[in-house]
Amino acid sequence: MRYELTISLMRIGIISSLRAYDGVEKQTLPKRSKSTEIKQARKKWKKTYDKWIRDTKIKDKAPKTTPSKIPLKSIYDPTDIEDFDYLKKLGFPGIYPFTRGVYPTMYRGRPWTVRLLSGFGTGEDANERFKFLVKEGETGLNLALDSPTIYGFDADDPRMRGEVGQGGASISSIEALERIFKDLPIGRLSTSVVTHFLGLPTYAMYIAMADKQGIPRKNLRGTTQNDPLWLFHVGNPPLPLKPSVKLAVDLQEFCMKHTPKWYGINVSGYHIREAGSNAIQEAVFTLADATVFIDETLSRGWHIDDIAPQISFFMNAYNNLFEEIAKFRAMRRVWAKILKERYGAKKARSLIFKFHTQTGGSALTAQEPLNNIVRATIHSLAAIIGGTQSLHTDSYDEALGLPTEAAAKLALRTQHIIYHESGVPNVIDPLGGSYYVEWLTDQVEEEIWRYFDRIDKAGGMLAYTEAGIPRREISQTSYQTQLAIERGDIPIVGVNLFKSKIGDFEVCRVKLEQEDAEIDAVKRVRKNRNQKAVEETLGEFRKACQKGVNVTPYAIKAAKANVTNGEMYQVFWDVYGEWPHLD
Amino acid sequence: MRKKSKKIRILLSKVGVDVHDRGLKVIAAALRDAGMEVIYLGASRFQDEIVKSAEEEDVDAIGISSMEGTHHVKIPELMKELREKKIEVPVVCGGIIPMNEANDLKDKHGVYEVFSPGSTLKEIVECFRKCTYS
Repeated sequence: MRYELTISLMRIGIISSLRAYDGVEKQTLPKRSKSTEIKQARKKWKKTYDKWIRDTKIKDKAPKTTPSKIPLKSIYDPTDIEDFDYLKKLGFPGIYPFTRGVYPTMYRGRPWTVRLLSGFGTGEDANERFKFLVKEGETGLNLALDSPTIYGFDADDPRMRGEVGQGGASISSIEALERIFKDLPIGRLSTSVVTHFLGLPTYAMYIAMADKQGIPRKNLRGTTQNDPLWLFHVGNPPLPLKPSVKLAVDLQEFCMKHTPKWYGINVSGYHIREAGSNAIQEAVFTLADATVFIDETLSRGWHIDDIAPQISFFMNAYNNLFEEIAKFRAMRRVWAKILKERYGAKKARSLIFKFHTQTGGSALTAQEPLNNIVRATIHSLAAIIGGTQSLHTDSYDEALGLPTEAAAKLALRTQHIIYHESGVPNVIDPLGGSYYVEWLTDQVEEEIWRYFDRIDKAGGMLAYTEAGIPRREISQTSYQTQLAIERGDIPIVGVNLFKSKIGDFEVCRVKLEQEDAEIDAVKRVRKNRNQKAVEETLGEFRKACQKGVNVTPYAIKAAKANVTNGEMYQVFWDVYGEWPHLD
Repeated sequence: MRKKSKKIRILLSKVGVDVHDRGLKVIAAALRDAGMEVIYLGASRFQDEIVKSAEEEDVDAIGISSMEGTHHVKIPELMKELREKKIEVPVVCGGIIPMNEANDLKDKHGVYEVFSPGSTLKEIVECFRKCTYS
């Protein structure tokens, strides 16, 4: 009885404080006098808190900052977000500044796209996994490429031995792509291709494949990652900076003209984070990278309202649930402001920060791998509460090798359970109005703007990238994080807490015989193709590269003539220069 | 015989086009902090580049990281080429390498040590110190 009364009183309290945030009638709440009262009450509580700690001799062991070093308090109340202007800061989903979501209905209209990254082994293997996932309820395809394809080498290059089809599908020519998508309805399903670097060769092959099937280009739905910039911040890009940006924008421009439902650039923060950045670095470098592509496209005479709707993002969801949610909310607000204020975009579609999320791969541990199911669930929640448009949940065995079918199915079901059972997606932006989350969203936003100022002062993101500053800063953060893990300051269950040894495991990997099958396939293509058509189309492609015109139509022609990914890349290296090797 | 004043020189690289170099960069920083000199080739390097660099830079040891499950092919190939070029420096590997395959790399191919996930920087630094001590 008494318990119920307390609960209902709490409810009244909660309801009245939320009503204060409704803000339609009253925009700035709470009032001064109320605020003084709250501050006094807070002081009183703090005394009790301190006394409690003193008396019980317990230590307040909670971290003093978020992982991005934003100082934390132990509790948040309305005075932490004083003068909070509801309509200016939040408004409503689908309405500027989009903090609460990019679409008016969010998941009440339709769920996020369940998009599991797959692809490894032979084209047939990738095809089989795709069909399995579609049968089990996947709603969009997400194709991973192997490293040789990403870096411009064909499967039959002897230097690639052992790497073909290993971390993704091998796509040396249109023939391989056709095997991967055999009997899959590419006119209906949307396909994302995680190209890591340039998207041009694989996009050209995809268009060539659709043309052959008679699917109108304007109906094709999908995304090509096609963001070369992250590889200048982390990793090792195979081409110099400026040509890389030029080629990325070539594809973007072609998409705007011919495949309007295909996102030509998917700006990636995911890899920046995986390489060890914190959430704020991930956010700021990703948004700043996007401005590089916009500036290049604008310089070709396009209007901002044509360009902006074609840009989407690829983000990471990591361990700290609230900081991740705040990151996504802040990024929506910052992006909308950049587009509106800096670029003068007018259309609502131009202002929205649409993003795919993948759960944090580097947060998974090889020790006690089943724990990763829990981690991936928390990451997925961060992405969903943060308002993602599509999601890949990592499989628990990915710290050890490629995901097995059973583990991939479990990852798929993780999303299904969150969507159908948890009630999380029922209310849009469910943490909106939380003192802590609103405060943290503001903090993340401020940090992003502060960083942006530095980038602007350094002459913009292209100059900043050329100077190697993001690269240096990310490595530093990564090293500091590792030192903190080893000191035990960042707890990781199974690693430095409840330590556990790694059991012996087998690497789920592609066998050399599967690799041989891909090698044979490319060799057959080389032997059977029309050599004259290869030489002609490749020659035209080279000329287009030399002239500086948009090379995409020439790449499509070459793809139709069975020109390989490696042959296209060789042209890039001849015309634009070799690997810059930034380390 | 090494003079005490000379810094230990370590070459760090990945073999092949594997891009996952986060761990390798962290190790580079740790070795530098421990007073060693690091020649960092980084991600996406072919074995001939590694061998050439090991020769030219006169390194005391080589560290190779493998994260994509390609170590069973790439590392034996590298070891073979190093032997052929008579570069006899210890090679230390790390990454996602199962125990039985790690033993193979050590016993059959002459790798000095293999570190698995969960190894500490201290252990790795010590290993480089030990294997270059003469």
